[in-house]
Amino acid sequence: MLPSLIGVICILVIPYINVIFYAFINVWNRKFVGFDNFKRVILNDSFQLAAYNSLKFIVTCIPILLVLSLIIAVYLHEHVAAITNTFKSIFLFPLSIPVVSIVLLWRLLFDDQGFLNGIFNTFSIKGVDWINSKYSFGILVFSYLWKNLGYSIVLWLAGLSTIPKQIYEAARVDGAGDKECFCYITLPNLRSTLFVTMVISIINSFKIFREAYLLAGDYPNKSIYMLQHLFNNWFRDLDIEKMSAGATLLSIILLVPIVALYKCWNTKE
Amino acid sequence: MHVTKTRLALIISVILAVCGMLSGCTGFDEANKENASKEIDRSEEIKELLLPENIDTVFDMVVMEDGILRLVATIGNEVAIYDSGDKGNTWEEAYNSTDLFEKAENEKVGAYASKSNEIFWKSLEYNEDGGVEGAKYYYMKESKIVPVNLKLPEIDKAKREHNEEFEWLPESAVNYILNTEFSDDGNLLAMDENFDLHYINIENGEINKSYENNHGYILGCSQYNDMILMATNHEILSWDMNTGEENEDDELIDRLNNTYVKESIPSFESNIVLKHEREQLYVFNSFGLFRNAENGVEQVCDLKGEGAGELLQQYILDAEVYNKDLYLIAINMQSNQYSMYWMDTTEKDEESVKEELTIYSLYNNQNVELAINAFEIEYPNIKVNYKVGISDGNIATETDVIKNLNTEIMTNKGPDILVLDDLPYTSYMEKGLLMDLAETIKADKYFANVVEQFKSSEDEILAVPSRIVLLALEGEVGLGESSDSISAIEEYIKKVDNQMNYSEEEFMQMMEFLYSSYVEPMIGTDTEIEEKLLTEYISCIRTLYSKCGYPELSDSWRNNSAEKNGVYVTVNYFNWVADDRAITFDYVDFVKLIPILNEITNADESKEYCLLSDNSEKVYIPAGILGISAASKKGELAKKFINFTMSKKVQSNDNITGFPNNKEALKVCLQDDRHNVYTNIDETTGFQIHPYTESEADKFVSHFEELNKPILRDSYIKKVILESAGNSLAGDIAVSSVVSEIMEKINIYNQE
Repeated sequence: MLPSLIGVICILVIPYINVIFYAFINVWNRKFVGFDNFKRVILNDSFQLAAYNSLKFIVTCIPILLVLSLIIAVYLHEHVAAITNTFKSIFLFPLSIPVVSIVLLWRLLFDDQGFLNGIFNTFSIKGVDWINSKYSFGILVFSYLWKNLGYSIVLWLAGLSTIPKQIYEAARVDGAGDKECFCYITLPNLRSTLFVTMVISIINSFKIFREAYLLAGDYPNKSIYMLQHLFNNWFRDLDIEKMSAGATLLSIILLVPIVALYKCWNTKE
Repeated sequence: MHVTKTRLALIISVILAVCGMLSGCTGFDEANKENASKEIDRSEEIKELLLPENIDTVFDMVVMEDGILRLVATIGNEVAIYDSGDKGNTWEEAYNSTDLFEKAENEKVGAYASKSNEIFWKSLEYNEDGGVEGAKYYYMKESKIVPVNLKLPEIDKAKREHNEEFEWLPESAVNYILNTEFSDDGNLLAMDENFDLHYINIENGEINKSYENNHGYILGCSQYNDMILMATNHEILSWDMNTGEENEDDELIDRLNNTYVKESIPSFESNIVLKHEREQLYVFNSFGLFRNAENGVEQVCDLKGEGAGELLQQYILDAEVYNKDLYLIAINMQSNQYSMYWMDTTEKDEESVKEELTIYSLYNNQNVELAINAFEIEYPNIKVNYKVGISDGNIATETDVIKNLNTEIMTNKGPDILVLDDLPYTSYMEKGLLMDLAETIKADKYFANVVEQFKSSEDEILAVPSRIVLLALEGEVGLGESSDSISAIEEYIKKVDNQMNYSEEEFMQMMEFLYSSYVEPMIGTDTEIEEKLLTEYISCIRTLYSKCGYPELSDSWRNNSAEKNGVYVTVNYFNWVADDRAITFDYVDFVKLIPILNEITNADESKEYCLLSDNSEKVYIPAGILGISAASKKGELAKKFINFTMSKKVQSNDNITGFPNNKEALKVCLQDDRHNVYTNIDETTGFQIHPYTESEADKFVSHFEELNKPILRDSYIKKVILESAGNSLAGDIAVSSVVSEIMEKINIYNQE
């Protein structure tokens, strides 16, 4: 236990504390500046845009992902006799493909001279610059869903498999239909799975930056300009204080609801 | 039999004479062998040695495997080989040509190659008029001499006819070897009358491989690993030994050619020789001997100084390094007298580098490389590590590389000196990451107006551009009046008749030039940019595009002199000269271009060029911007480097691109007539370029003192604008939409 603890402290805790420290000082002359860095970050237009986009992405993708993956998982659980390892491998396959390869695929599909516009041109429909326009948000959402859907399905299936069948049998004996079984048996028993899936999905939503960066560079279309773009560019310009303040803010914003949610569900259980 | 004393003496003397002759023929003098163990007096760093008496020409020098020094020389038409076992203090004749082979009276020996106990030479037969009628070749190995039946190709008359490189070469009836060296594997590398190099089997005289050479007379050649290296009087070149293809992009050759001292030599016709001895590659010229080392080219000996006398008038013919001894053969170009020197290289070899300096550049900067080479020669106890962020084969993006650099800077492991050209130096300046150079850079030496942009609010000079680049537009008369703004340029282009033909790459270059000239200077230090300017730029580019012809003609039209009906947008003045009514541009980064442009426009009244720094916005590009990291622990050393780089000595080297940011150096470059290599830039026009007079140079210096609009490049903004403009050339997107798309991206960038 001790070696792991030391590792976590050295690799995670100490750097995290260091970041918080930098958020309260001027990095170059080491003077304490209080909350000035936070003010600069919060009032920064680019930060506001990036935060808005990141939040918009999460609010768009997470519900769709959770609902869609749950529906598919429930269907599979009820209608497919055995979810074999082969099935699981297929679901997890998108996660195993390197991001660069995925981006190459999206470029082939969505570039101005790409496959999709080619099909449109065949039908005399004017193509769109998907990557460099507002539609790039849709591409990112699509990419995220495509990549994480299978993983979420596997998680849901794992959760569903822990629900005893006897409960369903007993409910049917009492006259419960599919809808009642789903609402009053399946969903409550999947609460912990929901928590895990949601947290993991939120964390994965930040990883979409890799696709966005590889597709559209340091400064993509406004609609997909995320927090990581901002941090990336701040680091290039050595705006360490702003980066640290922004990262601290972000960790607070993420940590608070996750902890609250955790406590809430634990209490209910 | 009674032997009298007299007869005994005679017998003994005959015996001794025979022994002496025999020892001479074997080339190993027992007396010399004993003397070989004597150490040379190392109390002096350099000594002049005596050469054998009465020699006319020294052809070659070699240190044999046992340390015997061998000299191959001629006396009249005869060749003589001398050996010295006491490091050049005394000489004994080992052979002469009468011992070696039968030679007719009209034969003359030459072109030696020697390697330890092997010698190769030629013997030429001359006719009454002094022309060469025949050539014979001989190869000697361990006292055995054999003729070599070389089968050289015919003389290439077509090659010789129009090439002035051959003008000095007398006519000859046969093709023969002019210059030769042994290759590593014991065969021969020989240059013939066509200046081509051949790799010849020494045993049977057959040519294994030929290397076509169009670069002129080969002064020296060597085999080095898989390369054949050749030195002309301009440069060092290399060929792949096996394929015979010229290596045009070789790091070793670039490094050798970029040796600063090579560029600063006096105007000898020929003074670069290279040699490969004992797995070490050497280059030597009048300034000294250099060798290829792991981290660059290092100087083995310095011949500028007092120790070797007035060697600036001497030409180093040959050099040999053996253990700690360096031997040099030099010839005085005035008197044609040969001299031989010994130098002790002990100190150089064993001296450890005391101090190190690190210089970082995002992209390779050849000017910085030259400065580093010169600095290391000037201060041999300082080693400079030159790091380049993005080089050929490196696929990292600029952002990634800059982030790595920033990480190093943050952890105080960054470089000492930064070449700030493509780095976010405004950010570095704002954050106090650069050292103050105000005391280092002497105000009267540089152009203060150029340095102004790199001053902090507290008047600290945080960076200094080492070079200045100007911009020029070239076209028809009337261009100058239209060059003041991008919209005026657009009007000029509209008036141009017919189509413009150039390739996609050339068009992009033109786009980039117009952006650099008219948009980039107007971007403020806060990177704000006016929409109106952007609109005018996009509009101008579209107008230019609408006048375009197309890419499949781009190479053929340039070479086809019949295609002169259209108007051509070109990328260099050669084509502007050749084609009528072209518009072209130049980044004026070499001094001689201005006189060339003057000559072109003086010769043709319909042509005009204008320097954009003559306009109301006196634009220029500061280049080679140097700054010292504030975290550097070698601040004084770094300042020394910057001082040296900004000195007149370095800045007046006109092989460094750009104009010097040093007033005295600029005047020297403008008035310098040493390297008049640009006089024949164009065979049809035959320009004669004249250096500036003193008053013209003064006027040009004043021009520089008025420069006030630096193009402070921001690579992101440039990329966004050029990409968006390029994507919208077809005209199906309104200019206003393109501009608003660009402004949106730039605003995000600015707001960060």
